[in-house]
Amino acid sequence: MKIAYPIYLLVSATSLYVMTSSFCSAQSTPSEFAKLSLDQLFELSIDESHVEQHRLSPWSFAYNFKTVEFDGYLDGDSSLRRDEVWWQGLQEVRTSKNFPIVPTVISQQARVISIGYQLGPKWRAHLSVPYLSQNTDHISIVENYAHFTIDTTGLGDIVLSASHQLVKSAENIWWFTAGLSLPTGSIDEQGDTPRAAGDQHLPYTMQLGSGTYDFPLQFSYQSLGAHDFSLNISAVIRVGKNDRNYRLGNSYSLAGRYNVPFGSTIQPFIVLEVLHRQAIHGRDVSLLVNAPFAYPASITDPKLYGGAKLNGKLGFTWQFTDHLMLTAELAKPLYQNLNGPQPKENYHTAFNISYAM
Amino acid sequence: MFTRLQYYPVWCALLIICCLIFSAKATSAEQVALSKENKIKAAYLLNFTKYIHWPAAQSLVSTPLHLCLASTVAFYDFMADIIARYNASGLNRHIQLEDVINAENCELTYLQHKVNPTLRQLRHSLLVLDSEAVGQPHNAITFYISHRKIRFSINIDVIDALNIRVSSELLKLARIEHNL
Repeated sequence: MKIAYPIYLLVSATSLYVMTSSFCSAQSTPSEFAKLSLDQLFELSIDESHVEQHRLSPWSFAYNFKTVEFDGYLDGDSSLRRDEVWWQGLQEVRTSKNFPIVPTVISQQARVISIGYQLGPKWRAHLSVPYLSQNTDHISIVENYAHFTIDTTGLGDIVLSASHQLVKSAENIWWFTAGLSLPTGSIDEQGDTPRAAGDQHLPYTMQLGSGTYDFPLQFSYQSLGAHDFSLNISAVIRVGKNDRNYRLGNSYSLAGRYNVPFGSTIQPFIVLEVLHRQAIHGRDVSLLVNAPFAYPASITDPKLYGGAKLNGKLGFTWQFTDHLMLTAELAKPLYQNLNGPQPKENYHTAFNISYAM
Repeated sequence: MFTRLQYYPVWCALLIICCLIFSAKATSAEQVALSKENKIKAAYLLNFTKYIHWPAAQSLVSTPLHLCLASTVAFYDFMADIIARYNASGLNRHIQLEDVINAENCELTYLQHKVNPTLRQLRHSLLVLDSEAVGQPHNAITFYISHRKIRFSINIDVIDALNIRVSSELLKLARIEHNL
């Protein structure tokens, strides 16, 4: 046993030396530089500390953790007090804009695992698999349901997409991405709501998928000139109706990102994003109640979805090796104009770690 | 009482530290010899020979392509190493590396500093400048840095005057310039 220690020590030290020296001297020998193509040279940083290695594999992986919280209500761009949205009984006039059940705080988390594959110098393919968790706190006038919470968790809609590099020059790069979102997320989630005893079908926000085949599209522009900025125009186009006779609204966004000059490995950025989302088309009749006002909560009315938002985001990317990159961002809506009364977004966060082999 | 076995973690830690210091020193010694910026430029020069086509008389595969340098010794040595490996494959047009002052003929010339523009060997040569600061006239390609990456501009008028054909693959990565 004692002999094993020096051998272990020697093997460990040798491995460590080989590992560290090959890591530090990545692309430093003439033969390594002689093999580099124009495209590879185009991507190399001149920073000595920036460790870059010739990619041996076309595979890349990413883990994305996103959170979003909704609290409070908006009708258009006007804030509503909770008691304006909450219909508290016969002493108040019931309208189409107040409800006996009111969601107070909605929290959603998405954990997305993505796999990328470089099909060629100008083509990339991606597969994204989301796992969603969401919970909503409510208040209501229904006996035994004064305060209640509903949770749902599970697989979301899996997205397959392909990106094509349209233009690459010394000044800019253009990409186009088209995808297909598969209806793998459940639209049959149930929970105990005040509508009746036992479990009932849950509103649109608490479902895990769209139930339809959707088409995400994106044009991306990245400037390589004096200022490091990019623009993204994207849309999610939804067609048909799902098994519950509705489809979520299309969404469209325009985002501009400016990378603040800072350092070679850590890159702060600011983003301004304009987002427009349509209301839900059709309706799920299982969410209705048999009363003069059929919608017991705002989130059961398909017209009270969608609207426009202007988001401001702050974040940074940290490329700590050529293979590993971490991105973190915090976003806050600067302006919201919603089809209300509708829960308003407070903030959302995103944390991404990606690994390029 | 300490036994010899109890010292192994200490020796192990010391050995690991020595390895790290040694590998870091070896790496920094390489870097002092030639910066990464210059290594990338050398690799670009090699790639330029694949995407530039000289007039027929000069571009016979059987005749070597003369790459001339006015550079530091470290850059020249690194370029020589790259070219030796490139030529060793035997599949490409042979590249002959020369010092610009001693060369008789240069198809491609890379300048890190200004040289006498009336040199006979530069008369039909495609000039690549290390940066605009070199200040050599009639330059066809000039390196510059943008976002910590090496980029290059190509002067189309100079290329046309030399009767040289540049591949569209190279042109689309370049900032295109014209004589005023």
